Order: sequence, then C-alpha cells, then structure tokens
Amino acid sequence: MPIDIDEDNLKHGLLGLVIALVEVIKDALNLQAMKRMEGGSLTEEEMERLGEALQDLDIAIEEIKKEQGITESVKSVRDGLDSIVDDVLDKMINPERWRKEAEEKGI
Amino acid sequence: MEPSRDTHATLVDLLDRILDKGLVINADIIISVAGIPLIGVNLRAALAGMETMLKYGVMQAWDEKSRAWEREYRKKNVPSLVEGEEIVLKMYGSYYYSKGIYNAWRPGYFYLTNKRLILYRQDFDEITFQMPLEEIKALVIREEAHFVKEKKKQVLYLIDKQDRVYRLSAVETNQLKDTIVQNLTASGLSLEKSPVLPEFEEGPIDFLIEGEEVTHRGEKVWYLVPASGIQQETWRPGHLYLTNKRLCWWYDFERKLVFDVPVNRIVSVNTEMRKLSGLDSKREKVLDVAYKFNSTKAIASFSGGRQVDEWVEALNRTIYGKIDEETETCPQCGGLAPAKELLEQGCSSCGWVSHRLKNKINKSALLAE
Repeated sequence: MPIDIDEDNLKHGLLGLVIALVEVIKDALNLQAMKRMEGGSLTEEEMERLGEALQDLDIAIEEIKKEQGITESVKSVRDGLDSIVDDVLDKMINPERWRKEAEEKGI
Repeated sequence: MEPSRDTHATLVDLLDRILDKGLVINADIIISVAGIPLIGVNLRAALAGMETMLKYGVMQAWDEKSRAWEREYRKKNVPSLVEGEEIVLKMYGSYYYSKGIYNAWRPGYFYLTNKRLILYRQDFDEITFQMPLEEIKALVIREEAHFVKEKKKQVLYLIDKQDRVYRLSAVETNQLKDTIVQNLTASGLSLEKSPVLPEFEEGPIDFLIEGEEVTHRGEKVWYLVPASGIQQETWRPGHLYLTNKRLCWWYDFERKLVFDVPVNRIVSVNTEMRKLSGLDSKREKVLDVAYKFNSTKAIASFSGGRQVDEWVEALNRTIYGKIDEETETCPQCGGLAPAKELLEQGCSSCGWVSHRLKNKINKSALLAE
C-alpha cells in the first residue's frame, strides 16, 4: 500500500495524534488534580495556582487546535483510541462476551 | 440491584483508574542463552496518582519538600510591596550605579507599581533602586553610544525633586517611560515639561600631565589590544585622545590609560580596510599608527567607523604640522630644508642662494644705491 504523505495529511495525522495524546494526559492530570484538592493537603494558594495552570494548559491546547484546524482529526483520533481501549477491556472483563465468543467457536 | 458495566470506557477512564488504584510491577527476569543465565533484570516499579501515593505513605517527604521549595521561590520572586501597592509593569532593565571607583550598569527587573518604581534583583532578593512616583520631577530619553559596535542605546534620565539624576535603561525604554507617565497622570502628578539635563562627561580627562591639552577627541574608538599572556589580541572599546604631547587611548571598562605614545615618536599614519573579526565578513577602515618603540617600530591599530578619516587628518596635522610645506634638498650641500625657506632665504647650512633670489638681492642693492 503506497503511503501518501503531503503536508496536510501529515499535519492532520501526526499533529492530531500528538495533540490527542497531550489531551489525554491533560484530562488525566485534571482528574488527579481534583483528587489532590479533595485530599486536603494543599493550601488555598497552591490550589489557586494549580487551577490557573491547568486552565492555561486548556486554553493553549484549544488555541493550537483552532489555529491548525485539527479539531476534527484530534476528535477522531481520541474516539479511535477510546474504542480500542473499550474493546480490549471488554474482551478482558466482560463475562457475557466470553460466553458469546465461546458459543461462536462452538465450545 | 444488578451490577452493570458502562459500555463506554475511554482511555482517560483507564488511565484514571490505573492512577487512582496504583500500579505495581514487580518482575524478576533472567535472560539466558543455551540454558546459561546471562542478563538479570530486577524490576520494581510503582505508578499511581500522588494522592494514592500519599495514602500509602510513599514519597510523602518529597511532596512536602518540593512544595516548600516552590513556596520559598515564589516569595523571593517579587519584591516586598507595601500595603495597597500593585504591580503595573515588569520589565528587564538596568540602572547606572556610580560610587567611588565602582561604575556599572546594574541589571534587574523594573517593577512599576502604583506607588514606586523599583529595580529588583531576584537572585539576591535585593532592591537596587527605588523611587517613589511623587518624587519624580522629569523624565528624558536620550540615545547614547552602546559599547557594542555603533548601536545606540536608549537611556532614560530620571530627575528627582532634589535634582539628582539617575540613568536607567530597559528592554523597551520608551514603553517604560510612557507607562510611568501614564501612572503619574492617573495619580494626579505631573512632570516638568522641558527639563534641563546636566551634561555627562563620558570620558575622563584626569590622565593629563602638566601643560598637556587635548587637541582632538571623538566618539568611541576601538583599540586592538596586543596579546599578553594567554590573552589573544582583542579589540576593546574606549576613547582616543590626541593631546599636544601624546596620543592616548583610554580603556572604558578598566577606566585607565592602556596605550599612550609621545607625539614626536609617531612615524606614520596609515589606513587599511581590514576584517575585524572572524564572525563578521565586513571590512572596516582601520587606523594604523606606526611609532618608534625601544629603537624598533611598533604599530597600534584603531577602528572607529567613519571617524578614522578625521583621526588621520588630526594626526597628520600634529605630526607634520610644523613642517607641513614640502621639503627640498639644497643643490649645493644636499641638506634638507623646507622648500619655501630655501627659496626665499637660501640654505642655512652652506649659504647657497638661488639665482632668482640672487638677482632680487642685487636689484634691491642697486635700488638702494
């Protein structure tokens, strides 16, 4: 299969992937930040600083996406990643699926 | 109630679950070839969100320490302000500090607050300059020679109510000035319209010996300081002074005379187009002054852009000034004498007189009779 790489293609593919991964990490950080804040060991000033920093990160990523016009491709990469995760987890921990697959194979 | 599974797990959910619960890997691996163990790997890793880590008592001290360090750092980052004071502008800049033998631009960050102008140095947590806004009488921006090439540096002169003058410089000197003016107007203060700036003497003249007078001087001149020790020959900025006795070059940074030669020892003055540094391929006009030194000849090189020609003229005027007319050799004894003197008065050493002069003398002698 010939790989067709032009500038646009590369941008949407590679940059989309990078930004999607950054977004995933950012979301994970956001959730952990919530947990730390709820944990109660942070001071008022630290919480404010943390919130501000994460907000800045949010804004920066949104700006990059808008500037590069890759909002759609980032979304599709994330959907793809999510469905892979969903599928793998489903395979590992869903008893109903085990039964179905077993039936299909005729065991 | 039936336990149910949300069918839409996402990557973020997965990560969050892992971080929340924590992941511990404990692995012992031996890589062997033909039944002989060759490489051993003993792996212990724990991955978890910080909150989970803390819950299990891991990295507690580290967490405390890093937060304490950040707190300390942030405290130092900003100069201590009085109550009700707010920072309006922060800009990198410097302030000319001069006391005794110490003269230097001291760098730091300018903080303009609604009450003061502060120059703050983070590393030492030190306020090196501060001026209450109501003490500012006038602000003037002037362009001054920068020590780098011919670039100009904008210097903000701040005059306070006691008529003391401070020299400030910032990344955007104009913006700094404008913002100060805005803040002054906002707090109902005004500046003097056209202030008089006292003249600053850049180059010092205290190296002159008795009876010496500066006859020519100019803007910044670079001197090729000869190699000494491990120091290679380098161009350094300073000022060149021609006096009635000497040619002197004052080194700006060390504030002393580095080169001086009596005028009567100067043999010749030439110019040459030369590359000044390996980095810059541009050729510049260099002034080469040849002078007698310990019975040999030495050459000192100066560069100063467009000024070089002025210096050549000034030096030539001084060196050849007294004998600027052409010299002639006496046809009778071969001695050197200025052409004019030779023609109008005859040779002073052998008494030779030109025909025309002889005729003239004879004529006037006849007339007198």
